[in-house]
Amino acid sequence: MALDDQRDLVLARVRAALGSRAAPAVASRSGVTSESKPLPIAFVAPGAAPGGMVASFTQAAEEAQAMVSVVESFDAARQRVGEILASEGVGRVLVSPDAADEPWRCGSFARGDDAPTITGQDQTIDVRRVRIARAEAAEVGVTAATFGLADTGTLVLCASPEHHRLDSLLPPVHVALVQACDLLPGLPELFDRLSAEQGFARHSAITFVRGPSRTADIELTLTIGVHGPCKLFIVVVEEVRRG
Amino acid sequence: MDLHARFVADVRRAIDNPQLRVLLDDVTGRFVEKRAAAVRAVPEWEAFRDEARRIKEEALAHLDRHLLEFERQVVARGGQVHWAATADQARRHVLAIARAHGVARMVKSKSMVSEEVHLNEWMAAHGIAPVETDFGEWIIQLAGERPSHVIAPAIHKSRGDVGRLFAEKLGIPETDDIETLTREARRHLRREFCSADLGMSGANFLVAETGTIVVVENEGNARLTTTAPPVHVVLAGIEKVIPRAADLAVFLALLPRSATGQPMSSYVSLMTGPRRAGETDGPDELHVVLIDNGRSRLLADAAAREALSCIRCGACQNVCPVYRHIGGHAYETVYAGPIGALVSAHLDRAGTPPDLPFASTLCGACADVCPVKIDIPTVLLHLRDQVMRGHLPDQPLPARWLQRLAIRAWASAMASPGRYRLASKLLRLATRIVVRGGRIRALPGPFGNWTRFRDFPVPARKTFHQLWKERKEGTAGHV
Amino acid sequence: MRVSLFVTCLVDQFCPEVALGVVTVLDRLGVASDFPAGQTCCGQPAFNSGCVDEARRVGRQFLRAFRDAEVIVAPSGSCLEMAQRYLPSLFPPGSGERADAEAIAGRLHEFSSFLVDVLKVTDVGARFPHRVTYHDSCHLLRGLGVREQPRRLLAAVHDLECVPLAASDTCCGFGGTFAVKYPDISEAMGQDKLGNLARTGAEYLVAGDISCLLHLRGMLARQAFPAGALHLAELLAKE
Repeated sequence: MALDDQRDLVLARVRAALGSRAAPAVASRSGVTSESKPLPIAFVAPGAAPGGMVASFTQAAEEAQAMVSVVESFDAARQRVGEILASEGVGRVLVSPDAADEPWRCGSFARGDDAPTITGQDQTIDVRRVRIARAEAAEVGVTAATFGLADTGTLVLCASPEHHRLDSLLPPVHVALVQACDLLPGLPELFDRLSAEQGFARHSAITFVRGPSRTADIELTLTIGVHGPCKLFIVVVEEVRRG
Repeated sequence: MDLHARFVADVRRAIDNPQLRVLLDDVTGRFVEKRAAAVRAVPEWEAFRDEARRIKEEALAHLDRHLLEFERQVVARGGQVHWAATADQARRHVLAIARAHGVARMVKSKSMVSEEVHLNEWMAAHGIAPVETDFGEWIIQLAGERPSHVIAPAIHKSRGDVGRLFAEKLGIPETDDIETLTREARRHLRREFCSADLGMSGANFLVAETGTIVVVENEGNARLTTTAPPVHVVLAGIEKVIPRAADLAVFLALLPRSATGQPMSSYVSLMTGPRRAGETDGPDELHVVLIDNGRSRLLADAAAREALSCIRCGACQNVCPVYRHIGGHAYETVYAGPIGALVSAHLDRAGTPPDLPFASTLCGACADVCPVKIDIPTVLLHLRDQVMRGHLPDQPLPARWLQRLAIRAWASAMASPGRYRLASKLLRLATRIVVRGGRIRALPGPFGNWTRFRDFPVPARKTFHQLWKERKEGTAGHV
Repeated sequence: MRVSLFVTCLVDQFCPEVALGVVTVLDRLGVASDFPAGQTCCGQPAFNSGCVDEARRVGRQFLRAFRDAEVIVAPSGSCLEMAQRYLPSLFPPGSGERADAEAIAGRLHEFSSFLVDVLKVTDVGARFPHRVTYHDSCHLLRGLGVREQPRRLLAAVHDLECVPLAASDTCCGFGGTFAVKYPDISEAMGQDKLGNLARTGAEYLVAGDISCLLHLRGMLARQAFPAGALHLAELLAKE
């Protein structure tokens, strides 16, 4: 096919370009070359801050306009979710299976949606159309988060059969549940974990979420709530229990 | 009108527009402050920059290998990779994918390379008009304009401008309330996201090790574009490849802080292949279109190659005094500001004013803030050399020849002390003609560009050479 | 130690008093100076125009003039950056000229840095009872990393009041041929600088590069501005 030929052409051009031996006449001011050894980077370790990673995570997330609650137990977390939903006064709540299952057990909050549960294996209906309609109609989406990053207050969501991407994206309110033991200091630790657990192979999408959606495209005036959720609630649980 | 003349006219128009100046000053000033505050909070900032530079050099030094690994990984995860040497091929790939899936409606998140290849017009001409979903990009799409700033493309429009635009194009009551306008964008584009047959995104990074596509954003439009429609197409320049996933730790520390002063953007999507078996959400198909379009030319120019390290943060634009006075539109290129001056001639030879490497004072403010330490002034000097050697487009004759001649004559005078002394005498003779009342207020020809708003300095009666000689010989009255 | 003066072509032709200022200050500090008469220019105007061959030609004369100098001092950031950073690159690696250029580069000093970092002095016996403000020329600040030295020297000048200049590190708009190729932008940038100058109420703007000063002085003359523009070396020579 004519369109395929360009692969060889592009690669040939790249190779030819790299083959040229000419070195730049003037050394770049950066003083860095690819022969330089990688520098060890010391990220600020939020664990050292008073209150540890939970406090760091909470502060950083709140700086990004997330509303964070820290509770001791999964029972308390469930209760907190109920309080949030009550205060939002909503009728249609979508709960992702990862929030409905152990250890969160928030499935009972799902309401306003009579359609049966969908799984990715379902062949009989247009899964995509139904999923989009359902998530678009919901007023709140409740999901779990796989990790949190303490230095920036960022949640890490991993797409899976239990974690539905649209639940944290289409509804105007997102409630995210995360365990304190899944908080990591920052990005290097996250990529270590993802590498060890083959995260990129297993999940088609790993999404970082920091606060609600925002834009400053008009006159650089910050506005919260554009295409993604307008509100983000985070419930952090200190009790340790693996899901 | 030739490109040089058009550039000069654009510059004049921008300088004569006081509202533009106020706006640019305000916007770039705020970006600069935000960035500075974010950088101050990171004690290891310089180490990050060095590391980012090193990673990009490694990525470019073995680009073919990394591209092949990226392709292998994407395919292993169920995605498809298409290669385009030219802008035209890139467009054809996208159209072919769209046609193969019977696409009628298409949404798009921000992609500079899509503007580079003029994708929107092409697709619209073939019956599939992509809808921009980034708020700023959507605004300028409605207005039929080009972006003026890489991070905030509609920043040249006031809230009143946007309110009038929405009233006209969307039929809503005119308002200049930003919250209302934003809600309108959310409402309107929701329908597009949820009914689109294809979503196209750019990519901030392509990870060779895992075949992962990384998109950094704040609005959520990229997440929606890449999650809701059944087909996801990624358009990316070949220089976006980085070797390992762990490298992202460095770039994600640098990019949001450099661009908007945030420690992390609201959303980062790391997408590897289409949705897996069992996942309910996400595209059924993922296509990556890798685009050369002149990047291999830049790669071949070893002294300009570092320009390919750019991570499109916009920090150089915000500190550039030239950009701050003329704005993005005056460049008439997809990439404006300092980085635009480096890459445009290679990526769009026919459409780039030959002025860009010269329309800089080489002040170096850009190099100071570049997160990947591109030494922009040094590359600009190299590009000037390339222009003079005829490897890059130059101004039209006779300007080109006259300038060359002048420099040659000047160099001849400077290369020998004897000729230098002669030239000193000639300078004094020549300026005597134009001195009036002890001042030089007008000079002829191109030198008139100096005296339009400045006096030209009157040469000293005696040069330091002469004064020193007199001092040594004891003939000086006073020194 | 004997200092060889690299006065720069603009100083030589238009403002020899700047070089005289350097000599006066060095005299005061008991440092002997000489003036290699073969010097003309560092070649920067050609190099900045992309005419590398012409720059090399002029650069050769620079090498001839300064080959035997032990310590070279210049009252300029831009010429110094040219001579130190770019001049060696004009000659092929491994060539004798390249080696000469690199050797000379190692012996070059900018004037304020020479006083503070080499001679270790800040009080050079200057007196200037006026209010001034300091502009950071781009090559001096970002090219050579010289920021504190001029400020420390100014702080030690007797009876001087030095006030900070807003956006002191923003380019003045000269930029060599830029000033005549893109006069609209050059003027606008210069106006910004003068506007900030006016807001300080200073009687003089002080800078370490004559190129910035010629551009700004030229504009000041047109505007009947009450302030003047001085080179640091001129100021430090005053008693």
